[in-house]
Amino acid sequence: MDFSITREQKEFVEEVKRFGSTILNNKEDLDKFSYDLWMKIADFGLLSLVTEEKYGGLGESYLTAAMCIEALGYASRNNGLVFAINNHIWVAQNLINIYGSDILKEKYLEDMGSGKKIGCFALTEPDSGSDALSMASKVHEENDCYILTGTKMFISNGPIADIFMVVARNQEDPRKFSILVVEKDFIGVKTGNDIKKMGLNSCPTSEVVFDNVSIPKENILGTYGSGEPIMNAILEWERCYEFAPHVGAMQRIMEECCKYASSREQAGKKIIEYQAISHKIADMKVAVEMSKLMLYKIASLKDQRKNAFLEAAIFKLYVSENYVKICQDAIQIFGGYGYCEEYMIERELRDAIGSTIYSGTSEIQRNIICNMVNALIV
Amino acid sequence: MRVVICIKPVIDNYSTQALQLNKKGYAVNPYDQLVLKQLLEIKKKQNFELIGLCMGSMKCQDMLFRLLAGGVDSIILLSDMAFAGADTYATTEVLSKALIRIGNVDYIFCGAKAIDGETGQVPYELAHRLNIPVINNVSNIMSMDGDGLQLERQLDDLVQEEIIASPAVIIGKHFTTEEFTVSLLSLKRAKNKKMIIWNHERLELLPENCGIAGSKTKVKKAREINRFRKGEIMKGELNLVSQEMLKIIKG
Repeated sequence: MDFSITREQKEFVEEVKRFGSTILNNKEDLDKFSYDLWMKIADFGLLSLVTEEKYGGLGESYLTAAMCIEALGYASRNNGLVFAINNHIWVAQNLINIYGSDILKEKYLEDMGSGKKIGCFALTEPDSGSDALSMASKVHEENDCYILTGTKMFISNGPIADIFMVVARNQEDPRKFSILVVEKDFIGVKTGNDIKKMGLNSCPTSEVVFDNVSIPKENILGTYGSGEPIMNAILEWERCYEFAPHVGAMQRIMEECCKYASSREQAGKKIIEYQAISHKIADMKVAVEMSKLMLYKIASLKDQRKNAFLEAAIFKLYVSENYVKICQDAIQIFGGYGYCEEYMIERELRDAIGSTIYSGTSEIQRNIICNMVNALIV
Repeated sequence: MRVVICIKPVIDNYSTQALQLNKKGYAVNPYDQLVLKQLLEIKKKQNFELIGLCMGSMKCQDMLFRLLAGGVDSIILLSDMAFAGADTYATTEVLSKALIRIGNVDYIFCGAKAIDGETGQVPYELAHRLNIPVINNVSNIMSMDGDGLQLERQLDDLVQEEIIASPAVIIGKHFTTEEFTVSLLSLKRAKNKKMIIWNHERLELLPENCGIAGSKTKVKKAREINRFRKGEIMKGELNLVSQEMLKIIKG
C-alpha cells in the first residue's frame, strides 16, 4: 500500500482546508443545520467526490476522499454539519453509486451531488440498536411495488432528508432483509421533530415513520432479500468515513494544545515543559498518526474493492475513544479556560462523545473484533 | 477580446492558509487580487479571454495554478534568474516585451501597487513603454463588451462611470485579502489549462537589460522599522490607576 500523497491530492486537501476554515466555522451555524451552507458545500464539490463522472461527480479514489474528509474535520469546527455531510455521502449517495441500478443512479445521483436532495440511512429502531437485526420494520411485495411499514429512530439527517435508505425485514422470509430507497414525498412517510442532543446539533436527528409506504420496485439496492451483506458493507463505509473527520479534528485539537501549552506560563516556565502536559500531547500525536494509517489502509482496501469490516471496526473503536480522550486531555491542558464555552473544547467533547455510540458502540466494536479474530485463529 | 491581468506574487502573510494553517508560500498581491476578483465575476457573464501575467520565481506555480482553477484562461509566468532583483524599470522592460509577444491585448489590468515594494510605478511605466493610455483609481469594473470597457473611477469626492476604448492600462484603486473559493471540480479541470513559462531568451531580451543588471535604482541599504510599541500594565485600585493614567495623558 502506497500512501504517498500525489500533487492532486495535496491540492484537494489544501482547498478543502481553505474552504472549511473560511466558510464553515461561523458560530451562528454551529447549532442548527444551514441549507445555505449545504449548497455552498455542494457547489464546492464535496458531495460528489466519489460519484461517477457521468453522474456529475468527480470520480475520485476512496483514498483521495478519505484525505479530503480528514481535512474537512481539521478545518471545520462544525462537527454536526460535517457529520450530516458524511451521512449523506457515505450511507446514502455512495450506496446508490455502488449498489444502485442505472435507473436509480439516473434518478438520484446528480441531484444528491448538487445538493438538491439530501440523503440518510435508516437502520436503528426504538427497540433495536446494537442488535440491529432484531428490527421490526417489514416489507412485502405487492404487484408492482414494495410495501414498507415500520419506525426508525435516531436517524441522522432525518428531518432534512429527501431520500432514505431503509433496511427492513422481508415479510415473506423473515431471515432476509432488503434495503429500499424511499423518498420523503412517498405517501405514508412521516419525519419527527429534531431530537435535542448533547452535541452535533447542526446535524438534525429524528424518528421516521413508514406507514404502509408504497415503493416502486426499481427503488431497491441490490435485489429483494439481498440486504444483509449490503448492510454490513454500509456499516463498513460508515465506520470508516464518518470517523475520518475525527482524525482531522484530533490533529487540530492537538495543535491548539501545543500552541497554548507553549505560550502559557506557570511557576516560571511554559506548561509544555512540564512532563504532565507534554506526555498528553505526545499521546495525542501517537493517536493521530495511528488513526491516519488505519484510515488510509481502509480507504486503500476500498479502492481495491476489498472487504475491510474488521479494519473498520478497529478504526472506529480506536478513533472514537481517542477522540474523546484527546478532548478531555485538552480540557485539562487548557484548565479553567478549557471548561469555558468560549474556547470551544467543551463543545468538541460533547460532539466527540457521540462517536463512541453511533455506528455501533465501542462495546459492539470490541465484540466484532474479538469474534472476527477468534474466527481467524480458532 | 483579450485581457491581461498583471499579478505580483508577494510573501503570504495574510491569507487563510497563512494565518490558520501556519503555511507561508506566495499569495497574489491584495491590490491585484481585487481586480482579479472583479474580472472573474464579469467573466461569468461576458465572454473574453483572460490571461494572467506574472514575473516571479518558479515557486509561484502553486499560487498561479489556483488562479487557473478560479477562471483565468491561461497563465504566463516570466521566470528567469536574469529577472531577479528588478526595479520597476527593469520589471516593465520584461512585462512590456511579454505583452508585445502575447499580442492583440485590449486591456491590461494592474493593482495600484504591491504591498511589498509599494512603488505603484509599474502600471504607468508599462503604459509609457507600450505607448497606450492609462486609467487609474478604478474602484469597480462593470462590464466588458463590444462597446468597450465600462468602469467606475473613484475620485476625491465623486464616483465617475466611464467607458474606456482599447487599448489601455487600467489601475485598480482598492485591495482585498479575501480569497475566492475554488471548487474541487474546477481544480480538476484546471489541469487542462495552460501555464506557459517564458525566460529572457524567449522574450529576446538581453540579460543586461533585465533584473538587477537592467535596473536604474539599486537598494543600497535596508533596515527594519521597529513597529513594537511600549506598553505598561497598571495594577491597583481603580481610582488610583485612573489618576495615574490621567497624569500620563496630560504629560
